[in-house]
Amino acid sequence: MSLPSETMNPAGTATKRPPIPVKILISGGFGVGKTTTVGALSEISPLSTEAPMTSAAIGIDNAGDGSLKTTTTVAMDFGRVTIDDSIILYMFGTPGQDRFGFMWNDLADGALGGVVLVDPSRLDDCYVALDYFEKIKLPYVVAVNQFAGRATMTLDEVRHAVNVDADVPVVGIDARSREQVKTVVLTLLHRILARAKARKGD
Amino acid sequence: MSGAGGFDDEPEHEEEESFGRPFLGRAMRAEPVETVPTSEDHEGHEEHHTAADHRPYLLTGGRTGGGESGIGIETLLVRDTAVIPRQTSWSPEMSKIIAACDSAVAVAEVAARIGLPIGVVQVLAGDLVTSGVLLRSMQPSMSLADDVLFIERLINGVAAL
Repeated sequence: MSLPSETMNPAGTATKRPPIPVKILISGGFGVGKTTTVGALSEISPLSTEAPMTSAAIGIDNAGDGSLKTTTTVAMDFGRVTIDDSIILYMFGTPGQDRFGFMWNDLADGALGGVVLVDPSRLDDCYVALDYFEKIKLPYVVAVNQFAGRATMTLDEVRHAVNVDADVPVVGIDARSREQVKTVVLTLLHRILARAKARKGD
Repeated sequence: MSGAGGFDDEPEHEEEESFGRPFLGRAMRAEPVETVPTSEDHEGHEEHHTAADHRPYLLTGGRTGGGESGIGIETLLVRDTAVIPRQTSWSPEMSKIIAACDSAVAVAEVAARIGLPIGVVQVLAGDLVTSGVLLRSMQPSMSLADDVLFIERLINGVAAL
């Protein structure tokens, strides 16, 4: 399949290297607003791609809430933001259910951080994502989608309910608002920065 | 061929069942196996097949994931316009991948735009990078998450959006 080296550039004619990709994950349960969040900041309409479900994943599939899934692929939505000539940010909306766990190693590999979207009326849906991010020590923020002012819990109540560390930011968000999504991403990036600085100091 | 004989074609993929077991699946449905493309008859004669007709597994010669090549779902690909490939006929799937990489684009985006599973694009893009047709984004020498200057640049960039 590989070609001989004659196809390579003559020495010195440097072609433009692709920019550096940066990946952050937007996670949470179905219908919590992942795609809306991605779309609010993305310069392209959120794209959807399918990831094949492995037999192993089917075996551990915990779709116990009556939503019996019979297809063997799952959709993953994502968007792109060009930061500058040399950085492109991709936001991956990742299904936050147990049964998608098989995707997460691929998704999280090289990810800078994550946003856990929370629907206050369905808190349980975010636990899988929280557990996973904590397990792999991925910096994350909790964003409570407030669904156009339909605030059912205060942020403090959510923080208490989902039991995250005191230093994990818990912020409100209207997933449709570009500015608010931007703010959440910035909050995440500042958290990543703080950790990078702390490590450097070690 | 007896049922057990089908295993001979796929000796080492017991744990790589991302796409099921296409050979077994075909055998059980008693479909003709000669639709399986080989390297000889694969060049451009398959237009009547859509990618969906093939098990993704077959498009990659049984390989899965971006493992060895280190091609992640966010790895950026771009066509190297300085290269005149000696090989000019690619499989239909590879041709689509090349065509989708006129500007730098992530593996996941290529997959979404041409309608192939990410895992297939990871493998085929790895081949195309190896053959020099595509350039890939470099893997940073240190974790970006530990690169203070990089994160600061990223923050400034996002804030300026």
